[in-house]
Amino acid sequence: MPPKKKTAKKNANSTANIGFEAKLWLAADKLRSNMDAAEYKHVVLGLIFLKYISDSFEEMHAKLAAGEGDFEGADPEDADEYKAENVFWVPKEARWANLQANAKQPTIGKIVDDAMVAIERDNPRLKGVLPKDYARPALDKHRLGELIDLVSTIGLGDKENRSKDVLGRVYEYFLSQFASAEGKRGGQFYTPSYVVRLLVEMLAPYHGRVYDPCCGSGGMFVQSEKFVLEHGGRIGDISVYGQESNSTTRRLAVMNLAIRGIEADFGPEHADTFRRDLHKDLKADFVLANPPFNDSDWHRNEDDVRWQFGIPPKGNANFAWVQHFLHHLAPNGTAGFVLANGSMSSNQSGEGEIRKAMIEADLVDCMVALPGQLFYSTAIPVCLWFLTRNKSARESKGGEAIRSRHRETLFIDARKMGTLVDRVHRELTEEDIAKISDTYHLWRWDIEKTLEIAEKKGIQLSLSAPYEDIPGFCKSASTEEIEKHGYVLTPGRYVGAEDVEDDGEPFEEKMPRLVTELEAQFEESARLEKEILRNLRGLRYGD
Amino acid sequence: MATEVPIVEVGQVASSISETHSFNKEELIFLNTSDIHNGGLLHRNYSSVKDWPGQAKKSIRLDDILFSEIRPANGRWAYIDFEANDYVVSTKLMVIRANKEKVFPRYLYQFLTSTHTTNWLQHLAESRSGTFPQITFDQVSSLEIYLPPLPEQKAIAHILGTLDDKIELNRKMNETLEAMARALFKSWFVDFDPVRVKMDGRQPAGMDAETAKLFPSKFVESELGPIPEGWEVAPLFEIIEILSGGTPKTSVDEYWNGNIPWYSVKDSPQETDVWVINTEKNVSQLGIDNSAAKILPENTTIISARGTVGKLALVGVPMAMNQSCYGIRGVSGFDNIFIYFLIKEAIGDLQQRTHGTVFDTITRQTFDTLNATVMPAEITNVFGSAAGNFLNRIKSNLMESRTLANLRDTLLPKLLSGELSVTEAEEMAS
Repeated sequence: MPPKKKTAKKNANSTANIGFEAKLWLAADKLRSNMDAAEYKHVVLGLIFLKYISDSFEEMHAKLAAGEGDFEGADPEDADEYKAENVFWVPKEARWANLQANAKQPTIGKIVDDAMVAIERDNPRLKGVLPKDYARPALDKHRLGELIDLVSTIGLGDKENRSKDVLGRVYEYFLSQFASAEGKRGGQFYTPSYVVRLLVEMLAPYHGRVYDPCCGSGGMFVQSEKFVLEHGGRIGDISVYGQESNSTTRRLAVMNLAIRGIEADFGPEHADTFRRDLHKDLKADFVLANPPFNDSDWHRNEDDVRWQFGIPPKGNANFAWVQHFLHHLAPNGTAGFVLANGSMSSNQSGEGEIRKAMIEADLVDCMVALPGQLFYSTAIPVCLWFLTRNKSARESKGGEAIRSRHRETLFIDARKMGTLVDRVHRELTEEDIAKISDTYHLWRWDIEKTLEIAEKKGIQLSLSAPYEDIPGFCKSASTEEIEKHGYVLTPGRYVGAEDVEDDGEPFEEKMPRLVTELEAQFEESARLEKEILRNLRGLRYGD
Repeated sequence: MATEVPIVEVGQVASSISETHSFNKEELIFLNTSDIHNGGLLHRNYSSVKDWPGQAKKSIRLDDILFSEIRPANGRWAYIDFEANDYVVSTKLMVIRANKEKVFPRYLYQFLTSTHTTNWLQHLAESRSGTFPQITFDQVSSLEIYLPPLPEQKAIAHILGTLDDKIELNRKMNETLEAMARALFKSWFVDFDPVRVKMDGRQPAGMDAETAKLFPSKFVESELGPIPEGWEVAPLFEIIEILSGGTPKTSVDEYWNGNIPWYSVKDSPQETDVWVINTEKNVSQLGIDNSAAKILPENTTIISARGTVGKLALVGVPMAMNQSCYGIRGVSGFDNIFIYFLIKEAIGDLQQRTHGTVFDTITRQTFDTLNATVMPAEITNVFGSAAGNFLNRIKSNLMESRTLANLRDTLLPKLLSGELSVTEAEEMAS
């Protein structure tokens, strides 16, 4: 099924909820007092997660206790019943009601830790993931109690609100707020959601293996699943593979996906992708990633099988990441990722040669220049790369008729897009995201055939006009043109200047009008000249 | 009504008015401090009252003087020479109203906006402890003003006013002249009007038969769309040369304050003034000899290439420039005025191609990638002399305005202090 626009409805929805999530955040942030955001993050997110698995457990528990339909004669205290339904088993001492009842006890820290331990013990998938540091003296127990009361309010109220998704959204919202609060360091575990959404809308991962070798807190996967659900698919249509080098960040990711009910393979533990590739044999259909920008301190092995297009320089890991992505791409796979702008034009230490080899291998599908100030971690402008192993005509998993694009690359210059939310941060709006991704899809499609397929399937397609170059915004360029530009991939070079709005006044009319104006000005000028001289003579200057 | 002592405090002859506008219409004109400059209004647009900020409050009327409370030397002032019922101004603007029996409003305006007064007010503003350099009417009120009899005030205001008017008129005239030159360029080299007209079997208007002959009467296809037959799409660098600039060592005094203007992007003219005829800093011949800076001949196009990218200036008198700019001149007989407009046309494109990750820059390579429609050099020379007429008048206007401003600044303190007496005053003001 080809992408459909859902913006209007989604917008209304998310705005309505912002109030609730933001209010909650403010309350939680107040309780942070003078604790570091980086430390507090684990305290709060751990509790939200605990509330989530407890809530979904209780829901299941109620069904089993009612014993209707499939659950006739089931034992609500049998852990296996939960396993069968893919719900975490929560032992008695770890259930939320127990924590809430003891929230005002001075021993609450220990009680939470014990709950975390008990959950990990009974659910091997969560082993080593949950924070168990609530009893430490530095954590004010009175505030912890208040925080538990606050988390208790999430998902209360009407049935719709009690749905698990509320906790998922709160988790995500809190992640973004913590990233913002941590500033520079926040960028390590969080990619702004509008950037992730754009990547996902461009790649359209309907089905298959999705891979992010530097997955942070797992935002790429959450958005990919959202995309699948929005387009009528099911959780499980895509399988998720990730790797993360930071152990605490990896835990955030495991919780983030568990809270969404997504099963993910993060490998056995945290590990550096260049030192130890945890998914050596993986061939992914989609790679989505936001690797660290211009990482100068990375582990390089000169004869790595991954360096198919040239050995990346010691001082910059950009093209190490790019080649790692390509190495893991399936024959029909596509990759979309964020890199610093330098990657599009640098010719230092052999980077230009690597880029040239990739362009000549016809891997570059689309380049997008983004506006500045989109990231928490840096103000430098960044770009999106889209690579594909196969530019031949084919039908996508989503039912689009993709045309052959051999030796063609689409350039999009989105530098003028986005809205400043405060002095230093810019966001892409839903409209911006739709405009960029629609352009890419239209360019890739065989529009006639795609329309035909859509009609056959009874799908209303929001896009119908064929792709066209728009000066100043997008341009489809041949590899020869790229060669002429010295294999530099900066979109600005290709899209050219925006059409300047013409005043539309024909020359034959404009000139006489201007001449009349000029004549009047000359007359006035002569009058003023006379007057000035007369004035000066009055002051006894001049003749 | 002459006074014994002709020096009084401003507060005795003028007051600060703060009347709230009646907001009698849904749409009115709002003037903020940034909407006025050096005597004039930068817009007269109606907008919806309900969208206005809280400081949009005060009403004004004919002969009021608007004067910003913040940074008083920044030129945020205006004289209201029209009925202003539909105008609402910010509370950050003082509305100064003259007691017309004692002071001629335009005389007061000349006094308040003179460099001497604004420098003093700026000094007071900066001595204040606060976020902004700000003044209040109290400080304006206590300024001492020389107040000759009204007819004499009127004459002084008239002398200074005509100088101001002529400077403003020159600016407007330059707008017209620049528009004419640009329209001509667009007609000949962008829209190819003469070719179209000839294609229809007619003679192009506004040019002699000799000139008309230079244009073909047919189009051919090219990668940039249809172009006149015999013209071609070629790399820009085939018809231009690029000159670079430099900075003499700032530590050597002898290199500086000479008689050679030295251009940096700060000196770039207003777009419609085209030319640069003087610069903030000057260097000496010794400075030129001992640095990468070179003297650019008249009619060289300067383009800023780093930081603020794409500001243009046409060299009006021989000058040097710093290394953040490039000088561009035509080669192989291509006319320099033509090159100026060609670069102006290409500027949007150049800005798109800026290179570099943090700062946008134009490099020599940027020019290598640009293509242009190239015609026989002869046509560009004909254009150069036609457009040159307009541009030369702009240049002489600029020079005249420079002289007028000089004259004004010289006369003003003498007139406003009574040092220079105005004879035949009444006759002059009549």
